[in-house]
Amino acid sequence: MKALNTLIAALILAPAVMAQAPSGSGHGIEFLPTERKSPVGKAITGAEIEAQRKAAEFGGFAQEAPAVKGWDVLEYSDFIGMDGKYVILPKNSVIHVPDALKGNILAAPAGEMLSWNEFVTRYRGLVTHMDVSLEEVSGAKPIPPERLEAVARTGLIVVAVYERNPITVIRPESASVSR
Amino acid sequence: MKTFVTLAWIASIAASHAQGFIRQIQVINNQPLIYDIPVGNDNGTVQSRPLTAESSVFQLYTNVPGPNNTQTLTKLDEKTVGTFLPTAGVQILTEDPYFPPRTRADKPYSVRLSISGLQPGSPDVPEYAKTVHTARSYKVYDSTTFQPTSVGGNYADTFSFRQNGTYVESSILQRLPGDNPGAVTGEETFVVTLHPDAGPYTELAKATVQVWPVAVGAIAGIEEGKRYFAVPTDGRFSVRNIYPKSVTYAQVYKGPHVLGTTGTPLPSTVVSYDTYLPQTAVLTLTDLPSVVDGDGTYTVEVLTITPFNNGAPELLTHVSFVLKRTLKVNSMITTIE
Repeated sequence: MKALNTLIAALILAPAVMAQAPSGSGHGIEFLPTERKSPVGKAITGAEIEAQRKAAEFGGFAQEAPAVKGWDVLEYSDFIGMDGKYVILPKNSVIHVPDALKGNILAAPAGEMLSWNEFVTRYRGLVTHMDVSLEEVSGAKPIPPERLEAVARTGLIVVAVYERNPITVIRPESASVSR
Repeated sequence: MKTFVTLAWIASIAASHAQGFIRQIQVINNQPLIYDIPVGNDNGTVQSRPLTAESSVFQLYTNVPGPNNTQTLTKLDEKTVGTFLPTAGVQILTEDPYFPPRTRADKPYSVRLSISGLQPGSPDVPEYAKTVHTARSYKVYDSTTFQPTSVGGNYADTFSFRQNGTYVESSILQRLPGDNPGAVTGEETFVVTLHPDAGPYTELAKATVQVWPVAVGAIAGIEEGKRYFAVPTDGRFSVRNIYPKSVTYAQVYKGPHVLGTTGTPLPSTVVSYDTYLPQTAVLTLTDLPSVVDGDGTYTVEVLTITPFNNGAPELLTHVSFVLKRTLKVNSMITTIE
């Protein structure tokens, strides 16, 4: 008895990560080019690839420490957290932290990230901002002590901002950049 | 001289939370000065603050959603702008025209590096800005999910350039670690950097190529060289690590296996992929009876057409069998009295 020509195709697709797969995938003779070249042999084996590698110049693998070190966002940021939310700020943009609020300064991000505007609006009882000039952020001109005393009296964490966005304040006693 | 920089970005930023930001980094008096500019749309421009240092690094960050409602802060792009800085571009070329670049573990690729703006003879340019450096790093993918693992590192090969121009390195072999070089999967990245006197290296250009493993096929249900009294109906084949852009199929022809033979394709076995990850397929050879006629030796081949080999079908596996449906009997009837 002639076997049923029922199509049984089990296509096991690898899991998709983000966007949908592009069009052009499918099953059936219509996907096969009508004009085809003559088949070629199998791909070279792993041993043949290894032989090619040995024949080519290669310096090997670098030492454990990475050769290129960039401006890592975690290393060059400060973090303030509250109620499972946190904000990421430029390193040394936090210019005053009351003793009672030191626990809100995080060593690493934890929880849900909010933008600076969202965080300072939601937690205005925790953090405030102080406008600084370009001369003050570059260390060319120190922030007047009376301004620093005034913000310290707010009892809040104070973040330096330039045109409403957080910015580092370089102070003469800050450590130099190291590579 | 202070210069405003208009920075344009086109990036995929999570629109639902609008938590992307551009970070501008300058080094002043050996100390980093960092300025964060929030961005809420997928594209636009911002006027950065004046450049008070010789150069600025601009980084674009956003939160990328992950499993279990997690988010990971990810750097989407980085550019370095400066009054004395050279510019560089890196392009990776493979036989597959797909972008972002990808290749197969057994296929070499090329790198084209273009450098301009180097001023080696100018006394006004800092020494570090007269040399660009290149390095290659790698990241290994999981062999089943094809997602990045924690295994990665750098290759020791580094090169320095002090002259403008276009440099091409062709026939670069992937060097991903693994027991079988044909089965490795991962990515390799070329990065071009400056090494300032103070602060981390600044990235001028970067390009990454994904490396996918070589497909492996197997036929089951048909034994090599076996004689069958009827067309085998249990034949099936499986292929794993099918290249993301490929057409895989089985063909049949009469006679023993001869490489280069164009046979009759089995329609039910043709499967096409045009995606971004390797695939796996298991198909049955149900069309075999409709293609095979007459007794004799037949060969079934599983082939795959990819962007490589100039589009020629590539043999994955094959099996030959003998079909002999008629049974010849020699006998004699005698009567004993």
